[in-house]
Amino acid sequence: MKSSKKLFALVSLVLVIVLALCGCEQEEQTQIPVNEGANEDADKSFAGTYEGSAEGYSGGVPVTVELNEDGSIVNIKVGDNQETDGIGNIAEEKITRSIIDSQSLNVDAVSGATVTGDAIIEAVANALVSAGVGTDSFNYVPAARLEEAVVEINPEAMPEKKEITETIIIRDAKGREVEIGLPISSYAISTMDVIDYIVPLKGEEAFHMLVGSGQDGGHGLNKYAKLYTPIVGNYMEHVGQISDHNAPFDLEMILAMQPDVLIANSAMAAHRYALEIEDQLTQAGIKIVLIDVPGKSLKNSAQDTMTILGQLFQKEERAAEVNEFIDQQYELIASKISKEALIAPTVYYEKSGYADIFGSTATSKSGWGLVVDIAGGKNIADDLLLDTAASGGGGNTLDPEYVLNADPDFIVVSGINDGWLDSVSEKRDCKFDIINRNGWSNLKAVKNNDLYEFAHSTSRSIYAFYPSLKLAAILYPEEFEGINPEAVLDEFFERFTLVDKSISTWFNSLEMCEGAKQ
Amino acid sequence: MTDRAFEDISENRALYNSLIKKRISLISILFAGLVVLFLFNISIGSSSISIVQILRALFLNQGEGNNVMIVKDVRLPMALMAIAIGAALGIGGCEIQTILRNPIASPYTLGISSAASFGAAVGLILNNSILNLPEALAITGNAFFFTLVVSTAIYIFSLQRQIGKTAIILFGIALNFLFSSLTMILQYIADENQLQSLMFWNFGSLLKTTWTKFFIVFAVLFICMIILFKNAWKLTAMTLDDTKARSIGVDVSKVRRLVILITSLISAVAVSFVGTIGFVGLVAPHIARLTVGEDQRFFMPLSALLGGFILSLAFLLSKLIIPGVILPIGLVTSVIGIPFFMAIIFSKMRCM
Repeated sequence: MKSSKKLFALVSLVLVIVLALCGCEQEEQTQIPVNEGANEDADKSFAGTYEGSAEGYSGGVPVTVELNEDGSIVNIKVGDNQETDGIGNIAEEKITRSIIDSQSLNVDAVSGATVTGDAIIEAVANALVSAGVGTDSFNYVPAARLEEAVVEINPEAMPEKKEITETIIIRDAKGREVEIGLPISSYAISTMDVIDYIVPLKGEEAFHMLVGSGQDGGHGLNKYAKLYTPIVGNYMEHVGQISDHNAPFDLEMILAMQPDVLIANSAMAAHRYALEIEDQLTQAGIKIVLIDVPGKSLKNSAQDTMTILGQLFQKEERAAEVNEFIDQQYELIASKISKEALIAPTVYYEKSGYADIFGSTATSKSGWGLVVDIAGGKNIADDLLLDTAASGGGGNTLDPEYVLNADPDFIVVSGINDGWLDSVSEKRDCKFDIINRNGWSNLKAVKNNDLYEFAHSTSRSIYAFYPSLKLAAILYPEEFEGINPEAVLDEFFERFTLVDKSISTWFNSLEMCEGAKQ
Repeated sequence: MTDRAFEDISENRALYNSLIKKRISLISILFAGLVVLFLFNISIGSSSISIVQILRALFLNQGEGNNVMIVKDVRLPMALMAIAIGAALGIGGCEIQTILRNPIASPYTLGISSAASFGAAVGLILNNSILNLPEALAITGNAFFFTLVVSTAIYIFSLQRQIGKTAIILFGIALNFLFSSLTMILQYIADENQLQSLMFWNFGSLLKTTWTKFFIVFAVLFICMIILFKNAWKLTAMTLDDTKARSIGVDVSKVRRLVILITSLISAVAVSFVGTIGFVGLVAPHIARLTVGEDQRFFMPLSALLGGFILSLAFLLSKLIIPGVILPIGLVTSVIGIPFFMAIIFSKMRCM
């Protein structure tokens, strides 16, 4: 019996630990109610200094706010904090100045330091509340934090069901024929990046109609929420998380959110997970439409997707407009590098490589290899891997010796300093540890600074034409003289999206991160 | 046997009766706890539905939106599946430990989980369905096929004469390594997304439960339980060494073969429907043995109950830890299972 007592003690210890861990998760965040502490007592003087603080990028950010009698902000001092030097300091100065100048907390964040900026604003709001002034007269809008961007569902906010006036049959990317009643009033997507294909069609309404999305490895749900909530309003109050990263769909959540249609992309096995629950969804009147980007042909998959979605959202003309734009870019590339006389430069691609870790490469038939192929590079992995069954003609890790021996003219990487949607998180200094590998300092590409990085997920995004065009312009500078890929990207954002291209760091080069070279 | 004439109640008989009473009340308490967990599991999920709504959906079949479907076709089978799978793993572990007389044996020692994992990998990475099932069932089908291969292999192996328990364990370990290395070969050629999917499958998840899947698991569990229960006294005798068991009339190798067949079938079904869920098969029998001893009439049902209890608890925690997200249940069972297991090691250290 002694032993069972001991056992009991240990078990209760475990339970205590588990419960304590649960407790940490749900720890109350200090949220400032927007309308609290309104100025009721007009005679009261507010003159004095007040302190407030908020959670920043790394640790707390304390501020001291000086107010005059009528409660206007005279001065703001930011105390000691651990925010990144440089960009963080600039943010402090800029934001405090614009708060004082405009007497408003609704000021533009400093790009690249939004987290620090929001922390300062929240800290000032804290101080104002503790002073009894309140935040009413300062237009305070609490920023959605990355980690808590997923908010409670508000049933009132769900999109209204529209009356169905017609039905159509859509042929999706897998050749399934899906009958759908139009117009659709709500939809769910397998990962947030799918919405980039819907925004060009529906604009802000794309967010108002969204009721569910899966999470992805880069916390897409939170990043998009952070990026788009200020633009389209708090759409997250009617969006449920319908799957975890690369996980089966949460059937219950989809049923609860009742989208008219679930749009699933091929990434992260979402096709299979969607078809697994097709029976139950059909029973509940929820249709599944499969799309496939980047699919097998990067040149067409985005357009095929737009065509399907154009039918689904009854915006076929708009979809055709987008397709025309994308087609033009690929035609442009093809026309410039089709000349027979050109000798294709050799290119080596690697994903997420470091000095000690060899990332996988990709042949001309998959992933970033497709981009290299369209841009007219000769992929050094093709000779070795294209026909091997082991890699399915796809990616694998190359023998480091082979890379040294091939001495490629250009090196393309992705997923190292990944800049995708980094305007919502803190920018980091870019680094290319990969060049510290044995023998790499003698590679032609490293010597000539011909090492380039693209944001990894762009190859499967609607913006995939940009890395193709940019890389082509790098590989064939003479042929592409006078063509500005950034301007093309700008035009796309201008014509078809709600934001501008500053949302991401699209491109890095060894030259731009000079610090990486010793 | 127990209901013999009451008049000659000796002191020993009284002691025995009180012991039995204690055990029965323990089992009843645990059963009540299981029911409570089951109710919690129906009422908590990723969407918030009020208790009134749940009751209306359950008994009156009416509710807003898809609430009826959520309660009846999603939550109810998942909550029942947690119990059935836990019970299956608990029984599997209890019987394997008994017939092999080895405290660290579990259904997984015989290579069943790594075979299931390999089957899933064949489906996920090679996109191949061995049994030619539609895509949605391919992975479960493959996993089941390979667990059956392993079960048959072990059964045929144990058919040979003069095969002792150690040989069976060693054979199981060899199969385990064989299938792990086959899986590794597949992992080598897999891309990132496939790897992640395989990893997720290995975590185990109840999310894909449907009524059909639950009924299959339940039917197998029920039949196997009846067969095992019929052999309860023989199995109790198996805890002695082989010679002694034989001397009181138990055909040791025959019982061993039968039980190996049944437990591997039970675990094969459990593992191929929900993925590899660790530790339940190891921990539940140990706790059961500590509380009621080796008497199979109590040891077996208690292992099943405890298995169901642990898995239901893990399922509940997996829904509570991050609100709105259901963690893979295998993660949670391992996290709460490992300390349990350590506690057992500490408390039994002296006799090992």
